[in-house]
Amino acid sequence: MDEIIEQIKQKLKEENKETLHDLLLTYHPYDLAQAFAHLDIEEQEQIKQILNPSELSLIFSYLDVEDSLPILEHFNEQDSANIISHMDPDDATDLFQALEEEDQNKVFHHLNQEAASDIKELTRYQESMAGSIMTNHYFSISNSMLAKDAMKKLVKESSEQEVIDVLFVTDLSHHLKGILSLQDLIIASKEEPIQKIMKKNYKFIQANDSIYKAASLIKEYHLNVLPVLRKKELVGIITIDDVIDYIDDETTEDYDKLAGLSGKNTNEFLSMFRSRLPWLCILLLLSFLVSTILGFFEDIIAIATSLVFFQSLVLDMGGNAGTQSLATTIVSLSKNELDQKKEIHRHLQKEWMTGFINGILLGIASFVVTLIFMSIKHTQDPKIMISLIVALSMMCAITLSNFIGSFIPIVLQKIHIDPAVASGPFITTLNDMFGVALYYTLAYLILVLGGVIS
Amino acid sequence: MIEKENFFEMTVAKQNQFLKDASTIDKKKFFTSLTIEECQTFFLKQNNDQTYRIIQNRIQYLSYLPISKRLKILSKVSSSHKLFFYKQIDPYTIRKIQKKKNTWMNMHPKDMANEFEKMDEKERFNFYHFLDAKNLSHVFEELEEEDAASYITELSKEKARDVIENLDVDDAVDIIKELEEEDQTKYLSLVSDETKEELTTLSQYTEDEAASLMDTNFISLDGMMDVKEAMKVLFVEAKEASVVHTLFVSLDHQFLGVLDIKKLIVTKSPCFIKDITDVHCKRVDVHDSIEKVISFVDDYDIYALPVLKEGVIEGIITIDDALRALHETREEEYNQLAGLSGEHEAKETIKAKVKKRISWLFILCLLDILVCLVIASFENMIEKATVLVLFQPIVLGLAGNVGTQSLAVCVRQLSSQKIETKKKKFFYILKEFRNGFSLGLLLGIISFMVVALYLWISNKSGDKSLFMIAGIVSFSIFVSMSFSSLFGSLIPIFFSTLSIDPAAASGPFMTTLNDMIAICIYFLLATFLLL
Repeated sequence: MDEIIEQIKQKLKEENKETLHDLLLTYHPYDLAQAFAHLDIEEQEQIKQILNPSELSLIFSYLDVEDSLPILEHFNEQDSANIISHMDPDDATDLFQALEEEDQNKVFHHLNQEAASDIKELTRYQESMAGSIMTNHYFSISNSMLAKDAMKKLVKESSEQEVIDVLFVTDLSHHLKGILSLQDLIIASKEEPIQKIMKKNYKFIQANDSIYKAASLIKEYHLNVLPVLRKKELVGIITIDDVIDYIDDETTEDYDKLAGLSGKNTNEFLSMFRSRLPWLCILLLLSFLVSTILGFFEDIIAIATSLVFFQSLVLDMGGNAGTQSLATTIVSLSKNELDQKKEIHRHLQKEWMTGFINGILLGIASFVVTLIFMSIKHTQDPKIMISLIVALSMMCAITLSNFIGSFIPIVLQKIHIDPAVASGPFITTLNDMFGVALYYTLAYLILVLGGVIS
Repeated sequence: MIEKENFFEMTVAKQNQFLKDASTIDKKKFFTSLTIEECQTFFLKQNNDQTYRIIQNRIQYLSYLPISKRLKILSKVSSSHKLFFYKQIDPYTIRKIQKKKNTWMNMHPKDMANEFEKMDEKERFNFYHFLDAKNLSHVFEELEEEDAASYITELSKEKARDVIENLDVDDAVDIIKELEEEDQTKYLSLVSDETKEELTTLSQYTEDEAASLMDTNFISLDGMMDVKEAMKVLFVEAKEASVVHTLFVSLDHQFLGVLDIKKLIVTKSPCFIKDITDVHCKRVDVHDSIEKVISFVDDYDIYALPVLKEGVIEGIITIDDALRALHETREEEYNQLAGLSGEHEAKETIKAKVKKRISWLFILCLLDILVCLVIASFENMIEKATVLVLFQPIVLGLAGNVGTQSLAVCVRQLSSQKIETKKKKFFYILKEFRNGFSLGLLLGIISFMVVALYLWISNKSGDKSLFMIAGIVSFSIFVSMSFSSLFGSLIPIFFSTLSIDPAAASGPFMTTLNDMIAICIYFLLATFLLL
């Protein structure tokens, strides 16, 4: 990217206006947009002079709104309005809404009529509604046409900017009757009526449905465009490139929660704090509960110090196994694999059994390792008994945390709380509490009550 | 009237004659009176391999059985025969299935796939029978790969062949990879040479390479063609192509660029295709990473991205496939952060689950022993001030968590290719250290107050000074958090420079290293200050 910026800077100095215009157009608008944000005001001004408003607006539709605003500050109202007028309605609305209220009023008078009405239309929808990201750059044909008429209309009216993959068939009152893929139109014979070759069975969304619904429809059904309706009337379309971010968001959220991050994570220092601090504070408080539990066992720790060596081993392993189980459960929940009671039962049983078997295997392994460890260490504490305590509590801790890790997200889902809330720090600390209690209770039972240590 | 008892003592030939002569009402009465065992002796014959098939000339009588018995008989029949046999079912069943078929045909493949997963074996066989190979292949594309693989083996040889031929090549490769080895060779030998070649070329690429997402059904034009000729090619090839909005132009077999179909339609002949081609379009190499593909498609809004091999176009990647790949990558990262192997494992058996998870847990267990060693070396200290043990989980927990946070952010940054150059990496690590430093400072102060308060209330500090212990705890939290943050970014970046997948490898090393450092700082500080 740095290279592209350098290239463009260089060329702005050397070339004359006409060659520069063609040269700039060889770059993809995304590259131009990235470069544009890094140019100084004069260079930006120069580009503004060279490109026409519709070319310029394309650059702005690839820029983040936050990056566009400082650039627009140097433009006068007419120029800003020109750019916004030429943008896709959804991008235009985003940018327009980001302006200060005062500027909005000024710019609005300079917008062309079409853009003004588009923006008015789109601002009706809340940010989370499908209607707010739709565009009206779709290609519609009448249901009374023949294939050849449709083709003719396509040749005459298609503009360069959009990808036409699907045509929308509407009746006189602009109600959506069906969709026709470009492919089917091409292979259809000329005299075929559109009614016959169109698909009546198509996916659509209502303008006030959520964006996430639109995104998941597009993802699940391999769609490139999704028609947006108000009742039966076709009011716009949502294209796949507009929902990529939303599809990404959902998994990212789960990922962040597993890592104990909250909110958006940008590179900025303050937002980093906002993202990381909350869970750390919660963790600090929760781990005091672990400390409190440990406090009850201070006496036994004083008698058999060796126990402390393996405390973190038992806790860590419980935590790790629990996290595995939790992540599997959360992904399953998000894939709707656990809708029925039967499925939930089977899942819980499986996780529980997996934990149990893993627990036994690791219990055996840790018994051996602990025994070797204790023999080398020459302590006075009873070797075999302590190894046994470690092994048994490891087994129980792993089984238990697998159960907790799979059970809690399902319960949360049932009471309509995002199951991912249980992720990461929360589940680990919970498992720590159980682990500590288990470990030292076992130690107490075996060492003190069992009469190994008086 | 046919007497049941006598009937089964007759010879087969006589039985048949008898039935032929009987009236419809008699036949109906007779068949309804049969028990299920009798039905079996009447209809079924054992094959050599212990499975059953239906006696050929008795299939016609199946329609006289009540539905429940009919289905019971069918369920006994081995699958290879069932398929053959469904072609000859009575009209009633056919009508029932046909009705269902009509609703099926109108469904989106994805919905069909959802329905399909809920079906039992018998229903699946109806489904196979009534859907043609093309539609069936669309359904298979929507299924999970391992499920699709097991269903393919249920199909007859011919149908399996047709389905594989109809599948998108990238999906076909994924499905075939899931088959047992001998089945792989079996099915590969069935398909046409052309498909076989495509499959074998594509299967050479790993899952991280662009080529594994490739679709080979695209329309390719020669740059020297006239617009008119190109239109003809378009009409012929449109039916088979997965993408028609973009056409791909080559010149002398070298890829030249892409052509928007609208431009082709509106351009008047005579005009060379190469003159209207967009030669500046983005492209990727077969060996480029999936991440690169995703970032191209996302940044540049490319609906069909050409994939080249030594300058020649091999295939295209459509935006919806890139989108799915993005989703899968994200899911993989999520699973790896949780210490699972990349794939989602919900459907695995317990045995497979244990196998997948235990190796990871073993590694962690062994590494944890190192932490135990470190703790053990502070035995004296622990004996003298047991109160320190109480706060050990807090120090370890906070350090571990801030490390995981940094790791998670860093893995994301690496996978979206935001930190590539050496300079950026260096500054990134420095910044993470600063993040850990400031978070540590803040939490150190908070924990000082909380620990002091806790000790004051519980009176556990004994002969040691309350503030001294709180000081040790909070200072160790501060130092170990700074280090954890540093390692949380240093380790994944280190792995990525060695071209080892940082998402998969970093976890255990980081946790162990952080634990050890935190323990050392904590107890060393205590030794220094308390003894």
